[in-house]
Amino acid sequence: MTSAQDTISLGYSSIKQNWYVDGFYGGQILYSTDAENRSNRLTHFWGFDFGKFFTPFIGMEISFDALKKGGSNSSYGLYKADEIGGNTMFGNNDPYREFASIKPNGTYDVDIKYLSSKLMFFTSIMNIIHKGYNSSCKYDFYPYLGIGYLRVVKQDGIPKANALTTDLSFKAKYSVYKNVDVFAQCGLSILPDLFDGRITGSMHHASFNFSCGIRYNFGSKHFSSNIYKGKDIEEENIRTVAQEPIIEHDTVYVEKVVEKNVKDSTDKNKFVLDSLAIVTIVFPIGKSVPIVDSKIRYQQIVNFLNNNPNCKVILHGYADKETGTDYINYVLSKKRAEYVYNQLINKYNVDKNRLEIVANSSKVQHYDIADYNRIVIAVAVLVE
Amino acid sequence: MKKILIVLFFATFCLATSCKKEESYRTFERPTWETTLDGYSVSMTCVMTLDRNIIGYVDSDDILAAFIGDECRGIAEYTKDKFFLNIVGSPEESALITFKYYSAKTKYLYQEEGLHSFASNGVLGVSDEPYVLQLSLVQ
Repeated sequence: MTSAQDTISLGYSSIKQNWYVDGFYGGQILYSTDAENRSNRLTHFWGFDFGKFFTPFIGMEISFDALKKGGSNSSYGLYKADEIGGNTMFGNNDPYREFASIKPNGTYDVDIKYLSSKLMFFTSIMNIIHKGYNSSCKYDFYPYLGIGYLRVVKQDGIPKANALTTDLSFKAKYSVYKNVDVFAQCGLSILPDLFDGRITGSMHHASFNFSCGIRYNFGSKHFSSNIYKGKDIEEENIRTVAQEPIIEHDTVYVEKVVEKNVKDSTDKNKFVLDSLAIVTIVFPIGKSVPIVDSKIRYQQIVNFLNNNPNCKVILHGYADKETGTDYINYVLSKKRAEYVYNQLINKYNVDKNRLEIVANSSKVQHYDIADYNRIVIAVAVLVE
Repeated sequence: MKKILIVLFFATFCLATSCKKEESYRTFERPTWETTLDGYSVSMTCVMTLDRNIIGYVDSDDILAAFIGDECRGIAEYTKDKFFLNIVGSPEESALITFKYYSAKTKYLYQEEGLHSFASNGVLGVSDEPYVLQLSLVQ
């Protein structure tokens, strides 16, 4: 019936909106040159982060994690703590051995205490697929890329160290409650050599981590559309309205006005007002079937049309602006109006030439409460 | 999707909190090996060294000895990362040699068993290319 509108909604987020905080816990494994026969490479990995969506597609996150990175040293390596002749040559006397339990093969496990902070940028796979934020989609996938700062705490023969890291990660999340998500993530940090006091000859080490966590979203996600690109819809009986003031009256008052006009005016067909709202039908979030599909609502429209043969009814569909993108809200408002339209034609045998559909998307909001803006308003207009 | 994430969550939790199994190794007091030279007229020489991960812990109280059966046939001297050892025996003897090494620093006892046989005037390793002992831990 309707050709799809070729629309890209970029959307943007205000400063105050679309923030979240995560807490996570899991494990990590350090891969390091010359770390032989390591038996306990898995160490704890925990932290928290907070982030923000700038648009449905791009966000930024600052992450903090700490505790230990496990590694393994051998007796023949070179160590920063054993300087020979200034800062240019190093020996293999690792002071950590005094604190370590030496294994029969000569290696010993080293747990490095550290603090790490990361600045990460991410994108949303599902928002890219949906071309915008879809509030009804409970799951999402985020690839991350960023840089980090690693601070190794001075300890047991390991000198303190500062290092920049390169970080990649991937997060899969699922909404379990209104503002609460759970997620699983895995990541990779590329660390420079020397961060743990050993000189291995390699450029970098790699630390792989995995964790699960909980996210709390502050407020509902909302992105305002600022750009439309696309062609206009040219559909019989369907048009998009930018903004149109609606004067609301309840059914009883409308009937009185009609009667008044009929009695007082020399022209029985002349109305004082250009348009009158007859009936309002309410819909649940994300749905195009009314909460209560009450027959009396349709009967009121039918009665009005029967009593006013020189009028027609425009079915204005609306969606609330707090959820969904403009494009999704346009489609939803149209579907809502179409539902009422089809009910009137199929069940109440209304002449389709006396009906018209208007999809208002979320551009017009009649009420402050979002629930009250998921509606179809049947508006009567004089047929010229 | 929800179930998958819940399972992942608990699996991660269990993995991450799984106990670090501390491996334990048997340690020994310094052995008092003594060579038995009576009745043996020939010998073989050995120049040996240890694995690079163990050589760093060599101490003056370490001891490396050669055994044929339960008999100690020689105790090595350590010089510049190498062990120099004379193993005494009989002219016709070709029994298997067991090398035992005790590390004073770590208190581990190692041995290499049955890889080499005694040979009169035999040579196992030279200074330029010492034989690297294939030691295993005695538990």
